Amino acid sequence: MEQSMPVDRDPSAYFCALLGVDSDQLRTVVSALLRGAEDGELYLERADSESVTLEDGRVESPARSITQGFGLRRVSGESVLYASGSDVSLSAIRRAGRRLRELSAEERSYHATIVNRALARYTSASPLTLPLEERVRILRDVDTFARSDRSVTNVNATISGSHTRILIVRADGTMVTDERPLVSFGVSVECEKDGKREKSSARWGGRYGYDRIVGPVVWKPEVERARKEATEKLCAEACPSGEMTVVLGNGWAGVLLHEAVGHGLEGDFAWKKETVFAEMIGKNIASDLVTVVDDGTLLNRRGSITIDDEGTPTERTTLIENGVLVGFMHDRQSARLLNATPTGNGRRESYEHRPQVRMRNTYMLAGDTPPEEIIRSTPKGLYMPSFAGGSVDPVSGAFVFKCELAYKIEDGKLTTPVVGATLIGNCATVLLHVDMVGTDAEIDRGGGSCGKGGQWVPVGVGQPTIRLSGGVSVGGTLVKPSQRSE
Amino acid sequence: MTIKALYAAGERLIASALSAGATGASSRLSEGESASVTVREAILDDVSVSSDRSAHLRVLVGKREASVSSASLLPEDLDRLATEAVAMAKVSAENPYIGLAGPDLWPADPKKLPRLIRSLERDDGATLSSLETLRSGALALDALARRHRGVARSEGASRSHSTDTVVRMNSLGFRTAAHTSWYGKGVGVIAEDGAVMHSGSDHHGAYFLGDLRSDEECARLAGERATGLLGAAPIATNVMPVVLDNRMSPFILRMLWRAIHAESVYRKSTFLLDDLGRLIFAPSVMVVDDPHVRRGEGSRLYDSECVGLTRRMIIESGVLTTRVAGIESGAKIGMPSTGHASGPSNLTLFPGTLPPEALLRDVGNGLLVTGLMGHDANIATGRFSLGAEGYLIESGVPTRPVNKVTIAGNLRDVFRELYPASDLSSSGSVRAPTCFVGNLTVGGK
Repeated sequence: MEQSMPVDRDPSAYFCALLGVDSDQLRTVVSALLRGAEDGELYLERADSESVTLEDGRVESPARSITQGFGLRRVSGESVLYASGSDVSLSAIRRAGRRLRELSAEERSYHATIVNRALARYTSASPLTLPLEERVRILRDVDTFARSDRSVTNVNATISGSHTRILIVRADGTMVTDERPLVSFGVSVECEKDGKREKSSARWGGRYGYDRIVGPVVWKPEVERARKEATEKLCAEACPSGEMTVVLGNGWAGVLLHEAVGHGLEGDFAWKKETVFAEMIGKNIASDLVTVVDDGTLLNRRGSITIDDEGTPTERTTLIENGVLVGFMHDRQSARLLNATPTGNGRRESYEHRPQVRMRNTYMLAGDTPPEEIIRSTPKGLYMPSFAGGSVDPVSGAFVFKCELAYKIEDGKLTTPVVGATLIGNCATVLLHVDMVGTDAEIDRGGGSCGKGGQWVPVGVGQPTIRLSGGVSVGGTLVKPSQRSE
Repeated sequence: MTIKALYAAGERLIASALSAGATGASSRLSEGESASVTVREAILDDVSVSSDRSAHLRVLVGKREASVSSASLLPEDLDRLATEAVAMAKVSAENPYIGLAGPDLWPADPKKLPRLIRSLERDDGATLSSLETLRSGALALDALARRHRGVARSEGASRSHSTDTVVRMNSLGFRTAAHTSWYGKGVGVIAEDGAVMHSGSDHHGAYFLGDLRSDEECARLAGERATGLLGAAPIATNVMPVVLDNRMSPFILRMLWRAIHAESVYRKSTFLLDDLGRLIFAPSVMVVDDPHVRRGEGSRLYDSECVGLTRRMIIESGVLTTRVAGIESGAKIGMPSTGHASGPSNLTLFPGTLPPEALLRDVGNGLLVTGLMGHDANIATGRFSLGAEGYLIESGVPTRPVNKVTIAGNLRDVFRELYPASDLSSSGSVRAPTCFVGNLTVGGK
């Protein structure tokens, strides 16, 4: 029976009421549905989300949505069978269960587990408490402030928030819940000079209320930085091409780490032998200056999760220690197949998706060289403070990053800004070329999302300033040193 | 759920919105089912089935708007949703460019739409395939792909089937429903050379099962893509002639589309700001957007705003003949909607007469690109720099494989130099043949 339900109660009470059962009855239903499976669960989710955007000084289409649904999963060996639906009713869930049994003749015994109580990494309160009028007023303030500089031709700003409630019921009777707030503020500023236009953007947020992201003390410096970057792009030169020494900035530039080695250390790629790192445990895959962790425990971070979407409590997982590969990230399936322990990395975009091994907050720990020293000791190279994004093919190890604004390093100093750079290299070797690691480790400001197998999840990335003296090539638009491309 | 129930829910949403004070409203109700099975190395890897439903409502209060969506179609939830949307729109700000499509913008009288929609042939009427059928299809493709010479193993072969019903209506009287069926198959394989692995894949989708490419072709293409690049290495940085194969060349059309979109023109963030009516390609180049191709992947009668589309030349004899827009983006630059609120329909670059082999012979020495990685071009400036892989062209034939290089240049130059071969690809909604794209900076060692 479908019916309207008040949502201001904990997820198990909410879903039990929606299904018209008590929690013991629900446990019984799930263990019957998963009979014969080795692992799996019933996942129930309700997500409330809202957003409002300002563009050209106008508020455009405020939106609000409510989605809810279930996902029933049977896992046996290497096989995953998944059925999902937006109709949260016992009859729909039972129908899904019957459908999956069509292809799961094999009978296995269920892997019962004791799930430890997880420590909350964020508040359970819904952030969706700021009236639309208030959010609109804040967006207007941002617009007015950004346009106080006459070179600004357009401002786009978006405030969005969501609150997701989940309930996970396993066939061994385990029931766990989580309530996840997530808010985000994005601003993009476009500047004009001599008929040429360039944009730059900033994004910040985390798992807390709007109050942490909408204050002028938070957004003013972000807007100023975006404006400065857009202005610098307008007078930047074309980027040179070829192999060269590259210095990467701290914080968001850690997205290189996420793409270049993070994906290759996801346990599902490892058991399928679809990563260059599959057989590399115990081996040096980075210079001994490099230690990398994937951490779901950081309080209130965008990539943090109290439990993963299989119900495993989160943790801080060391991936690379002083250059040596010490472990992969795992969900329950990859841990079972590789004889390891689940690390709480089983995540999914929504009830419509099966869990996959996914990153949380992935970062490189600080080294002992001051960042200024790294620049000073580089006679010739390129400084990339940040990336616009990137991608990787874990099979071949090839990766590509887009750097909107970089700076030439000449005689130990940052000189000319350059635009249009692409950084390419190979995962297997790139971190072996790290020869300097800065003291300034930092996690990004909370705007990252990662896509894999058609699913997007919020993540964090970070690193100190690092230097790569080889192993990467830069692709720019500069043809000859004397000739500008535009 | 019956189509009647979807219509009833849509009507209720619009009626509630109007009685709560909306001056106009449009709704979209959808219901769909899907099933897919993936087999890897003869083992069942992944099975997914889903059944989803959603309601979406957009309300206008004068020149203010808001949109809401929900998975519940219960009457009391629909009423609450509509009231909430109107309240949100009221505190929003005026947007002079928004509007609702009236009869003059519809593709036809709504009574005639069902027949016209059927004539596009996007629905074969079949019930959802059984999981067993999909599994045996995936098993066969997985086995074939692994037999391809040089393939070490399979990354997985899939078969899928989905059915969808989408009802659209607005408060000016537009109402119609479209059913679609969609079949998919795909396979990925890995080739190995010592410690180096290369993957290659092929995917194909169609409205009718019989239109899917054969397993043999799918397996061969995936195998060739994986084995062909074994032993690939970068080349030295240089400026050289570049050819994009017909899987990569649609990139050019996607960038063209963004550059001629009314929104980009309004923002002055396109390098083609002043080029309407001007020659931007060679005089032989033609590009068309044709929404009425029978069984065409991007075929449709109307867009998400209920505005009808017609066949439209985008580039005629090298000249840019139109811009493209939805209602709002069009109003911003004073043009009517071209029915493109949901993007291009079937966007095609006309093939030339030279077979690709002959085109490569003409090029002599250069780079044939068969894979691109990375991000789009900067549409404001036309500048691009992308990761690329492919083959070196030496004395007119593709020779050794190349990877880890970048290609960089400006779209304006690419458009001017573009020369299409005759091999228009047979799948996708944005299609182009193999194309010579001029001399680009190839960044490597």
